[in-house]
Amino acid sequence: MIEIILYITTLLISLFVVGSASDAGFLNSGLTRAFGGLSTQFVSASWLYQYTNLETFLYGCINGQVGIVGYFFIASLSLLIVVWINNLFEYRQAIV
Amino acid sequence: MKERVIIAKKQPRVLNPIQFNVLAIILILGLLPFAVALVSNAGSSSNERYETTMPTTPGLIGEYLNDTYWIDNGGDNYTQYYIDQGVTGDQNLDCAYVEDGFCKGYNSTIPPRRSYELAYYGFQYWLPTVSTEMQQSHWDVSPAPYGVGYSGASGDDVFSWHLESKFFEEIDQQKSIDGLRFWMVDEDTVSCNNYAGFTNITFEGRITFNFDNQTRTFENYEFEKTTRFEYSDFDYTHGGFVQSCAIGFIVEFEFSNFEVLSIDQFNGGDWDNTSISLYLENFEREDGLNFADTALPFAGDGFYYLGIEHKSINPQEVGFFVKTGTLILSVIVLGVGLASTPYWDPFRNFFKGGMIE
Repeated sequence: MIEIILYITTLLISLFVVGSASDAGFLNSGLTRAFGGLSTQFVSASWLYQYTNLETFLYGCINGQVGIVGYFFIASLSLLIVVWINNLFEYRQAIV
Repeated sequence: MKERVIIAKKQPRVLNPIQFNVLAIILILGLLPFAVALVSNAGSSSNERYETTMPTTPGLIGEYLNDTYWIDNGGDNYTQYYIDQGVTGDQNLDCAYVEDGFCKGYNSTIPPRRSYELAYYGFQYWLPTVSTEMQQSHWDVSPAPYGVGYSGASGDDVFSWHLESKFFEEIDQQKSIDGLRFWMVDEDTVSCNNYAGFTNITFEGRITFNFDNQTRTFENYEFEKTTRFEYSDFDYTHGGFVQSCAIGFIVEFEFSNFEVLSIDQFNGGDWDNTSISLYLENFEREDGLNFADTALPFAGDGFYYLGIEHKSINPQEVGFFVKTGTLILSVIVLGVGLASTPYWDPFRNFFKGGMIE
């Protein structure tokens, strides 16, 4: 569950970066876009996993250690991710 | 005289789609982790001071432990070595190898000794903390009259212990803990200057709380330690304190606020009925040499000192701050989610002028 949330989040970030770079005239070939996207996802996932305690926090929320507000946080974060994914496909940007 | 009036025209702040995406990335990779870190540490009332976890009442000296035992004594089976050296006696040979709490070395599967022989508990003065004397990994098999001396190694896989609730009597009932550390020091002192057995090692740790026939485990702790342990010892011959050295190290487990709450939910602060299983495993030398006969404080045929200390924390206080902080964070994340839709535009309104299409 945690892995899925973080994987989707970092995938989203890499899509933001690749899409934005493409709009700005960079990463024109499919190969460079793929490399840029993978690199961004690797770096952002490493950051979230190894240098922050976001994973521990999410585990705590899902395992019920924070009570009902933990589930509320997971629901809020999931909603945010769903909205941004939708925006990315509809408008090519996260926040509209 | 004509008066000139200059009206400053406010320049609109503008964000383009790329900048809105950058804003989203900053929110996820920057602000969210920092906000979570703040919430995680909210209400941490521990003063970072470790207190003894073991009983300090002198009258308890001599009281025996009866549910403290080796779960695993190294991971390598040295039974044949001791047979070759002429050791006899099934029970002694059997406990040359302990796995999952059972002596499995020889021809039977019996529980390791849980009798008075394992350890006393109560005061010991040798370490700068309360400690007790515990049997080393091959105590059962190697000493006289049965044995012929320590094999020199016990393994590098897993050393683990079940420590009964008597060890944790000094933790305040109804409180939780956010730190637990174990002093492990060989009873024999060695030369601080000339002993060649000191080395740097790495290993992993996990800890399991046992309460009401249920368990809760916290794992993935990694340790880098030197086996050189220095402490002040009283010199009875010449008087005064002198610097002593022994094989030993301190293993420290820190718990996040969520883990503090998890421990509290698990045992309700009933430390009189909570035991702990401690696992240290996957030992390696930092110098890359074969681990083989590397000296460890708890590996041998004699005794070592075990001291346990804890940091206590008020779980109600932690719970209040963490839950309130999480609620605020949830509302903010929900707000950002709604603000990211076309139906509510606080970002666009803030960055007046909107996007450049």
